[in-house]
Amino acid sequence: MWLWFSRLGSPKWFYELAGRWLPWTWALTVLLFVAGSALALLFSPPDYQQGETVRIMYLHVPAAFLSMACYLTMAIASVIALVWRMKMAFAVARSCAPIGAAMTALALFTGAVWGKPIWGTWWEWDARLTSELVLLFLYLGYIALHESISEQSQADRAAAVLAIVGVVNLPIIHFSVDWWNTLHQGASISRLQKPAIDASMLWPLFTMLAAFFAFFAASLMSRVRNEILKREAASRWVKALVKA
Amino acid sequence: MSFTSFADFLAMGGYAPYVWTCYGATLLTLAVIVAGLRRQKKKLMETIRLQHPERQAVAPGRIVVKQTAEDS
Repeated sequence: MWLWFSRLGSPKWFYELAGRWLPWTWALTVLLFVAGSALALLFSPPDYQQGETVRIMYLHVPAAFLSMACYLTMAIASVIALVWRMKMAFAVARSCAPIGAAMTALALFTGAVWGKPIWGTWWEWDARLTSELVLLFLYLGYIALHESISEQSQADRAAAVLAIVGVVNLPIIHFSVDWWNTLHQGASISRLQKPAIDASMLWPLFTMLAAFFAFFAASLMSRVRNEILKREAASRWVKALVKA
Repeated sequence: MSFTSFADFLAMGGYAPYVWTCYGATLLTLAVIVAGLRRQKKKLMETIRLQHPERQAVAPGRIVVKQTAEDS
């Protein structure tokens, strides 16, 4: 366990391992997106209330789920980095931010486009929508803070603190539909109960969730490898790698 | 299969602009992320290469920095 942990902290080891895994992860991503899109667009039924707009769900739900999962990853990496002074964890946290910001923006956008025909409005200042918007600002704030401090380790630590403080927003987003009156519907899938949606819609949704997660894994690994190159630019192995 | 014809599929029960905008936006988002990753890697490789001009040992103990086009 400890050997594994200390190896994980080695940028060179991670760079090479991720390099071997990446082609497979990208291939899996493409496969899952092709299968997921076919299921979502062709083989799932229209909703009895929402008609064909329900097909937006297969993008909106995974994007929103990932926007939060990515933030959690970023916060956990920040805690590990601060507590065990693990440089690699800072690289992971920094790499999560742009991907998470993009996913949050996508969740907000698809939500707005879905809201127009179904709710009759693009946007409403209700709890779920507003807290998800705050999540976007947290990501952007993290990136801006990190970029504004030129000294690497100071930027890492300041941004890590911001990431950790921002975690309070995650339960707010998650429970907002229960705590406040909101336009947004409640959760359809929960660990404790039988899902509130039919299997013919559940499977396309699961496939799309898997596709988004595979994409997250692949893009995060690629981003961390770039971050390693940047941070280890002075090391011998990076110089050798660049010349090869 | 939930649609009977291709035109039916494109029409999305009258919600075509909404559904296709979302699928387009998703594709665009994923593409922007991937393009950003590739551009970042290319830029980093170039920067690192410029920081460390090629060195060549000509004799034991002597290191000569080779002039590259970027140096002059």
